[in-house]
Amino acid sequence: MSDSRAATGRPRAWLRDHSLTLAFTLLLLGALVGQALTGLAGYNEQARDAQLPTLSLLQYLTSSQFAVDVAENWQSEYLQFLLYILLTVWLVQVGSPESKKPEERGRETFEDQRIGSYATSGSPAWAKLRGWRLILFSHSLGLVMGLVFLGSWSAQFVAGRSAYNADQIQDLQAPLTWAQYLQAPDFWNRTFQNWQSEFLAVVTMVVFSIYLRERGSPESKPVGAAHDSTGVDG
Amino acid sequence: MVVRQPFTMTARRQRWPATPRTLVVLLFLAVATGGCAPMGSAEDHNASRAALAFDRSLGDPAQACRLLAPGTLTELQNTFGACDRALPRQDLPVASRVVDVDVYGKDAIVRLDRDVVFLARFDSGWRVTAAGCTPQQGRPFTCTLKGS
Repeated sequence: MSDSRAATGRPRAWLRDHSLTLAFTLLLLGALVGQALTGLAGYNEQARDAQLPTLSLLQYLTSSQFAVDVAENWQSEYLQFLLYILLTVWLVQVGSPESKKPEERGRETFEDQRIGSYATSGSPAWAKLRGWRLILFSHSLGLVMGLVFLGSWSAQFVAGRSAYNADQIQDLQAPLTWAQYLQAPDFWNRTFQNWQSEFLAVVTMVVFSIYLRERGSPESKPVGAAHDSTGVDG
Repeated sequence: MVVRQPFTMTARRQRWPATPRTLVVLLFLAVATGGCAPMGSAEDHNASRAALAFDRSLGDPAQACRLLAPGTLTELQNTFGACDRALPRQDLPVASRVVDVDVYGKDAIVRLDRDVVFLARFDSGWRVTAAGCTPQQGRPFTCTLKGS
């Protein structure tokens, strides 16, 4: 009996232990579906007005129009996290739970980071080593965020040029070369309008969390913590 | 003989986190390659052939009219009357070869030796949206035949 109870409890425990990842994955998929359906409706509305060909859902999902709209948002999200991960090594905001304490600025010691001879039995294998593997693992989060940022920004550039040139042709204008699109307002406007909103979200989170609280959230200081207490521990 | 790892909690912990990661990679690849999907030499060829077919059929206006996009056909008929009589009066240049072609999704521009033709790809194939076009510096092409 106890075995079967444990077996039925296992999936539930797994769901609980991964609920944050699962919830945001579902939100991501739901939002992508919403974006695809509304984007397709908008595209086809304009196409019908101009008596031009409409797209099926599958055609829209593989179109440059959908790709650029997705990629321009993705690149800015990964840039936001990349900058946040890197800048918070050295930059601090007193009173913010998102920040380290001023005296902790920098890469910190082997002991603080539990690496090399200070690694514990639970430390990842490469944290116990020296040399390139320790260096690579020590920067793996920033590296992957940076690579995904560059990949999605490149995808925005490629798909953006294709979508822009389709519009150019519909407007009886010549398509742009790669070099021309690199200097085009369309590419940089799509880029900057996403970047500004990400930077606003970060600065808002850093500053608001000094004075405001959300009881129980690890993103907030404890409700009773002083405004000038810095770091996640409150 | 394939030896399967016993299904333990440890094995599960190692396997499951791969799911969202794989999903992100697949979505990223779909986005990265999506923009290129509609372009290709096959559609370059089809758009070029349609542009040439239009120019070559100008001597047979009824046939040329069938190669016009709906919006362009409507605009021509609203302005000049029945297509097969109005089209010859447009004095469109007749080209014989393709110089260059650019296809982006369902839109194409074909530069012929004596004309520039814009096209769109409908379910029935590539149709001419504008013809008799000449470039203007920093502005849209000026076209003898185009939609509204």
